[in-house]
Amino acid sequence: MTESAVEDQTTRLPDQSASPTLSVRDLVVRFEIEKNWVTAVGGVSFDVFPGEVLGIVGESGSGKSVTAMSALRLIPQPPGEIAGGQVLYRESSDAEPIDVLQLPYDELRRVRGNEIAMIFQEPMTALNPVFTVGMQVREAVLVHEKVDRAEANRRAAEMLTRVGIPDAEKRLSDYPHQFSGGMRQRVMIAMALVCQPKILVADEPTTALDVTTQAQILELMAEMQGRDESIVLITHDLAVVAERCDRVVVMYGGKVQEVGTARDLFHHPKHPYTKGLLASLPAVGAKKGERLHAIPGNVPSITQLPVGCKFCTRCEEVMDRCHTEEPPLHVLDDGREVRCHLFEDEAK
Amino acid sequence: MTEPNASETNPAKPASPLVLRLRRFRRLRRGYYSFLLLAAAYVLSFLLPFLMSDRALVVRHEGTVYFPALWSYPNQIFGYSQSLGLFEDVVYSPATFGVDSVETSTDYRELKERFEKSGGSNFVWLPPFPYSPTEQFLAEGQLRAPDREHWMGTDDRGRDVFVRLAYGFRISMTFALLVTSIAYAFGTLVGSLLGYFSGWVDLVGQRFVEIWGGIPFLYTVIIISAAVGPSFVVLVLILATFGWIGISYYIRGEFYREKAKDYVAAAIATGESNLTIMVRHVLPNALTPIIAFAPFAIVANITTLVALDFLGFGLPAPTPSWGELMKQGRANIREWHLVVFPLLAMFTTLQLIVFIGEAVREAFDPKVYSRMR
Repeated sequence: MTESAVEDQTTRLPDQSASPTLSVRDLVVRFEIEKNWVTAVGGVSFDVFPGEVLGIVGESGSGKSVTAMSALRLIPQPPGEIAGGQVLYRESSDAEPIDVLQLPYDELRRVRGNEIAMIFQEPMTALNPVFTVGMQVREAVLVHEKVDRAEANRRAAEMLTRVGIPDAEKRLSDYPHQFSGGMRQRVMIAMALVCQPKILVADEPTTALDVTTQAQILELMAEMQGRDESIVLITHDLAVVAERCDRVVVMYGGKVQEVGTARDLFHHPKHPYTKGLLASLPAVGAKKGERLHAIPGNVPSITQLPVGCKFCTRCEEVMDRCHTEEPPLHVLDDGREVRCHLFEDEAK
Repeated sequence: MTEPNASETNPAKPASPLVLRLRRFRRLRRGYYSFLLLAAAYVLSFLLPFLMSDRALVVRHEGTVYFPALWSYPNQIFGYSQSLGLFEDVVYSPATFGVDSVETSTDYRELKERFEKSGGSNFVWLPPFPYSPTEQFLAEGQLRAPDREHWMGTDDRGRDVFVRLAYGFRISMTFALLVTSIAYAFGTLVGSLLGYFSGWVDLVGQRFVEIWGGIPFLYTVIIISAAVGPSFVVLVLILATFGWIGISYYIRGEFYREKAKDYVAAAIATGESNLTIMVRHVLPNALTPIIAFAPFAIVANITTLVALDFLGFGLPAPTPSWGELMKQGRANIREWHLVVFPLLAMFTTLQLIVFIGEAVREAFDPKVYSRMR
């Protein structure tokens, strides 16, 4: 599925000359675990351009969700702490960027949901069980706009219709337990998009759904995306990335390891980790009885990350210096970024 | 409560989890009927002045109608002389003390007899059980065994036990309901603040709660009883100031659990304020355990009042209370009616509440088909 999807994909490259809607700069997030401060995200930087779908890929514990949550300051404090960096948001391409991390509480609330919205992994728990679906979507409107309840209700119904919930008017007064998982995720999307945010952060939106529903939800997200609206899609599912994303950020050990367009990344992976990830996918034409490739070892615990390259313990092309010296994020000619000593020369 | 059949016959009508639980509660017959019975008894107990009282409901005297149960009338209206009684063969009249008239209460049972003897259109309509809880019937001595007049006998001051138990029911229930509501309100407030804001707020707040919880309850009651003298309001306040602690623990724990769920993150990500999230999103989800616990809290509060009255630190003397009657039962253990009836009244009431509690717990059980029964 992955291979063919990549072949068919018509990559619509975003207008990278425009200034990014969201720029994450040197983001550091730490957690206090049993008196020790553990760095979950160690200086992550990336841009989200208007109109693009940016995928953030990585294994569990790679810091991708934490990165996404930080964009809205949703890190629980304690134990978490955003220790440094900036999350710069531009309302329009010529507007002055505002740093979400420095906003006072009231202005932060205005950004949340209105400018940057989020949908979550578990549709089963992401809706409040004691309120009707209509109330929850309506609430999202009422928080940000001065409209009366009737208007908010109308907007909620319209939004639910747009996300493909049949008979939306009637279903407004239904409770979450009367919806299936896929339907709930549609409601979540409606809630997130009802205020027309510029950026939608989707934290593994399809992980808890079955395969057919996954496809529908991804389809829906693509349909709902306006020209200037961006989606940050966090996932560990490479098939989803191949199918939906324009550009991809690969994360490992709380660091960005590789950045590139989806097409480049899938056809010419550079970082040994990306190569390993792609090689471990089952291929359609594979011989029967052939073992699947696997990256050796386990994801190191974030409490015991190696000093040098975060991937050195599992890398197949590891060198001595990898253990002691962490490579910088090399910027290559074609705009790709790779954090690996192997590309030191190419970068120069 | 809303009409259940309307919503049950119409399955398309969506129901909130609370409505679903209420429906399940109605289907649990034992608990539901216990609830109806107890609620009816409690509502009825507010009509006690019209059911059990020494004051007549309606008196018709010389063409005028009086309502002594609602207003008091000086007894000369009904043709009594203004004598204040005999003392050492001297008849005192209001003039003795230099006043025109004195408000004296009328013995309406006697008035009824008099009217019936004289015939005519005058009549007295007495309550079904024409004795007041503080009235003393000493003509046949105290501690009378049950008979047709006093169904449960009289106590050591000649007061009707049945009437005192009935008034005691109202006092016990009102007391328990008040204490439970105040304790719940305050406990919920503290618990949700500690649970929602967690961190140092919780750390410091919990220490204060613990210090408060360390104050021995009974000594406080004894000291305050000695200092200001116990009254209904004082006892309610004392019990409530100790009763909220447990509730705050429950709510705090529930807040910790609920706020970790995605719907709270979703609400934050929508840009809702702390107060909205706390009150509208988390609180309704956090209330489940304390609602299920409420009947047992009421049981506990009834028992506490009984215990305090029994020990003599409870309500002041003439108040009809169950604990005081039980104390009399212990002092006069051979008078079976003073032992059996107060215990029976308390047992029945507590049993009914426990039945309600069981049903509420089962109705709120998220795992209906649990194997652990």
